[in-house]
Amino acid sequence: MASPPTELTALLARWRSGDRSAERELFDAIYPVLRGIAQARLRRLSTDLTLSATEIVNETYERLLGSRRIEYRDRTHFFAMAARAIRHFVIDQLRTRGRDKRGGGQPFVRLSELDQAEPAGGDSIDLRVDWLAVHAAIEALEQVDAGCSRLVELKFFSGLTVEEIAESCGVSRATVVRDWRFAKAWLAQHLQALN
Amino acid sequence: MPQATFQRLRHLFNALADLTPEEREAFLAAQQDLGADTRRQLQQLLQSDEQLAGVTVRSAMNTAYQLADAHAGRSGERIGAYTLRRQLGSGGMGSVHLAERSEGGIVQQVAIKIVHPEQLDATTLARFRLERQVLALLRHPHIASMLDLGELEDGSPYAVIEFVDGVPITVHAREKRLDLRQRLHLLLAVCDAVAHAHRNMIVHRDLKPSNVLVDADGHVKLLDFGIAKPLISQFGAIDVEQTATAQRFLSPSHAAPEQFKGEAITTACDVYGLGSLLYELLCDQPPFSTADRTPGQLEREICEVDPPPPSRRRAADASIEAPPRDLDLIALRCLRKQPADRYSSVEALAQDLRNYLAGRPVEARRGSFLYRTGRFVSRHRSAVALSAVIVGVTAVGFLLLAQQNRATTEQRLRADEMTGLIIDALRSADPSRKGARDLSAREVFERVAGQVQAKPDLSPQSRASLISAIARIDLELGLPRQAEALLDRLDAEALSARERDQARNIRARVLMSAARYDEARLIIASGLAEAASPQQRIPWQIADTQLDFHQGKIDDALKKIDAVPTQEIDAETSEDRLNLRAQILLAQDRRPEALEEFNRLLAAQRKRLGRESPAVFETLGQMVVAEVREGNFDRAEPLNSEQLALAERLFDKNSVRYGRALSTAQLYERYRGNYKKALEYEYRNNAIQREQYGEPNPALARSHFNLAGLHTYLEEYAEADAHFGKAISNAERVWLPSDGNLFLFRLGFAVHLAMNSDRPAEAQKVARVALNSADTYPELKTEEIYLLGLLIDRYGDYSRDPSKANRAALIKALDEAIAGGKGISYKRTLGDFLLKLKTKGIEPTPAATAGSPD
Repeated sequence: MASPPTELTALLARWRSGDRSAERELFDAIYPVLRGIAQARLRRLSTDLTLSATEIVNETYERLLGSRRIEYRDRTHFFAMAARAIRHFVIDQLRTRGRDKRGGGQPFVRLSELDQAEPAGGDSIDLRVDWLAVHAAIEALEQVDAGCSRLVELKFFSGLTVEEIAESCGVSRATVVRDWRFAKAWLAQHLQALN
Repeated sequence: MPQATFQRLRHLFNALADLTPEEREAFLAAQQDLGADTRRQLQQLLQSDEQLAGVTVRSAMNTAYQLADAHAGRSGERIGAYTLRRQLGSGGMGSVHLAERSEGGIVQQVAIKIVHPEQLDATTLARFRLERQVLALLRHPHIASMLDLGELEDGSPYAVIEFVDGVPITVHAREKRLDLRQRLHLLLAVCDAVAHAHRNMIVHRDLKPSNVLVDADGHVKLLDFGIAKPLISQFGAIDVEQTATAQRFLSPSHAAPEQFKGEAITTACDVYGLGSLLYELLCDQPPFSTADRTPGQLEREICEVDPPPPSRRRAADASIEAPPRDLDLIALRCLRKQPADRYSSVEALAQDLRNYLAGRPVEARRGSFLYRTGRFVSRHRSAVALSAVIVGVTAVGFLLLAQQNRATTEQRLRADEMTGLIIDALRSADPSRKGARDLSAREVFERVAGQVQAKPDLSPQSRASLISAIARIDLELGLPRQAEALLDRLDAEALSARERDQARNIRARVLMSAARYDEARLIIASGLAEAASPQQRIPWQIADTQLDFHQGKIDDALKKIDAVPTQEIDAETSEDRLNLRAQILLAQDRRPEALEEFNRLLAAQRKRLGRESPAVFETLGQMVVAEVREGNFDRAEPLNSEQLALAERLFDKNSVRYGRALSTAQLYERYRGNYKKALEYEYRNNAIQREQYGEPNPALARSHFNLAGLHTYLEEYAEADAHFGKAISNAERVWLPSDGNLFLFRLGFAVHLAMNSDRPAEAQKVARVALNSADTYPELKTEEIYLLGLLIDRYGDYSRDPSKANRAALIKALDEAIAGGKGISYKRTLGDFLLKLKTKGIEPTPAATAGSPD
């Protein structure tokens, strides 16, 4: 059941103020709704339909909070939490489809090649990447540095810009840039070691 | 990998990443405790880093993909008299197909809109029925008309609509290289169609190029009333409210601000839409670009940022010459954030376009100056209130504008940007919110901060220095939390060394006002140590003094403030010095001297900032307190009245400042014995402090303490108990045990328990907590109320066991209390205590009562 908007805004506020227990509750409130929307999108038949994280998150936002105006900061936090939900959705999808074997490619792409990034096989999830490995890496990272793992999660699953990530983590833009540089290198190493 | 190793790696990586290979080697050589394993990992990471330069990540899901369409295969299928040919598109609720009817050798092409069978929920159906009804009603040469409607066998409703074989108006204008007049005439035809809809109480709500098509003959047609909204609640047999709850099917790049905000949709929404069409016709660019923006960013820009005039957005290879100023103004007026600020109707817009075409003066020019300099003026209750806000805003704004004396080009640019941002913020003021309330300085700077974040064209340097400047202003406005939030997202790298120093100083002061003294102390120590010149040291010396003062080290503070050079410091710093010195003197009960300093300060501030400035407000407040403590209520009252009036004009009646002025009024009303009136003032202050800062906060702690005191005077002890409790619980969370306020609150409560409630045991318990703090922090023993604490402790002993020894100890404490204190409230409290003890047969020794309070 969807939480009423006020409860959700209260949860966001608690999470923003550093209440870790709100995190789980927030995830539990967001995930089922987001999963429903994403699955409906996968089922729905139509041309030029895009399954983009941004759209799914926006629709989830609409569903949960409607046209209520909430604080910009809370909005960013919402999107950050939705990134976690997206991550779990992607992983669940892949496992359901029996694609949980290792060995896909690295999740990096040259900036110059980004435009021609057409996914292979017309799938909603970019299968050129071994997402399960990325997922495992994020979990490993969580054990040693929660901040870094959150950053990686946001980079892959949120569609948020650097500024928005900074906002939702409560750090400066410069910190995000610096931490991401490290996280990227670490991730590349970690994924290489897995193969 | 253990966490410690990981963190070590991370720090080393960060330190090494930007170094040259030689520097890296030197650095690593110096890390002798580094294991071979970690060393190798580090090298691998740095190697990866090099390989990953210029590389980004693939997102898990943001790529477009295609799926087969249920209706796409319908080609050849017949619907009524029509044969489906191909699909034209599909949208939120259905698909549109091209179909033909052949009759008497003449082929008629139509568009058929079919609702997806899987989308046949009540809301979509209601919306579809509404659109059909709307189209049935709207017959106009420039609106694509509805020809027929019905239901398919599977129950899907459909509508047959005139087929427009054309291209979006903007594409048409560009491809045919239409000149300005041709473009305007085309738009006038669209205005005509929209005005027709408005006369029929319909708002289109989704005016964008792809909904305004021009066919091969140059005829323009308005399509897609899919999200149109009737302005009446009952439309034919359809209850409009039902569809209003439907999801927002918005085209984000063309939606008006009120559509995002969920505010009332009126015909002004279409004026905005027409304005965005005009804008794009004038410069080949939409007012807000969707490129590189997330939906959230776009929404924020649409709601908060004014687009530049089309003439400035025009690309070099635009298909049209630069539009004249009048057309810029007409477009921008349509695109104003507030519906009420746009043209009052589509007809008015059309009329202004005709004015331009006929060479008459355009309406858009009128009022544009006012609008630009703060449209505010015409919209607010009184011009006086406006000028007060502007003065208030500029007074604080000048904190940074004044620094532009060393006018390098860059700094001038920032001053311009700041001025621009302030004006933008005033312009985006929403007069409908919270009644006709005037914009407070706080709100203005919240808006300015928002603008700084949202404006994409600011350089990182400008953004950083503006954010730091606003953080400072927030602090001056008594908003430490907001200031800290801004500082947290400050990109310090982008600041000059001097600005970085200032930003750190602001942070130290923010920490101080949050009673985070240890953190503040660290920053101040490094600020003092790193100051490059005696001048640069001064702000840190003042911060250092302030910190001592905050922590109750009054004597140290006086020594430090007297060591600050008085020569060669700028006016502002000199005022900071005077102010702090006066406060220190006040804390030492040297009130006449303090008042002299305050008078000097007031004169300096009035000279520099004018009679109405936040700084003057602060000084007046200090003076009121000093006069009250001296017992000069009649001198305090006019100062306080001036203060209240200033607070209302500069901030507003819900501001923290206004609350504080109310609390000051409470003070002398209390001493005059007007407790009810005092209570009323203090409750208003309490509500304001709670609303603005939440719990816990120092102002709220003080306010509860005041309320508790007032309730005891009125003998409303249950209320007093409650407020003492809240005062202490707030105080415990914001102040350290060494704090004088916390000490005072505890002992105040103890006095209350002992005297009013006759609960000596509980009183003793509370007092003991305070007395223990005083043993740990001896400076607390210099507070007058410490003597009352000792007295209550003895009284507790005596009440439990009225032995001779306890009685003697009590009388001794009483004598000392009488000899020890001079303050007005101290004497009053002690006097009450004496009366109370008298009823129990306890009296001080006669020698001690000579010159006693009663």
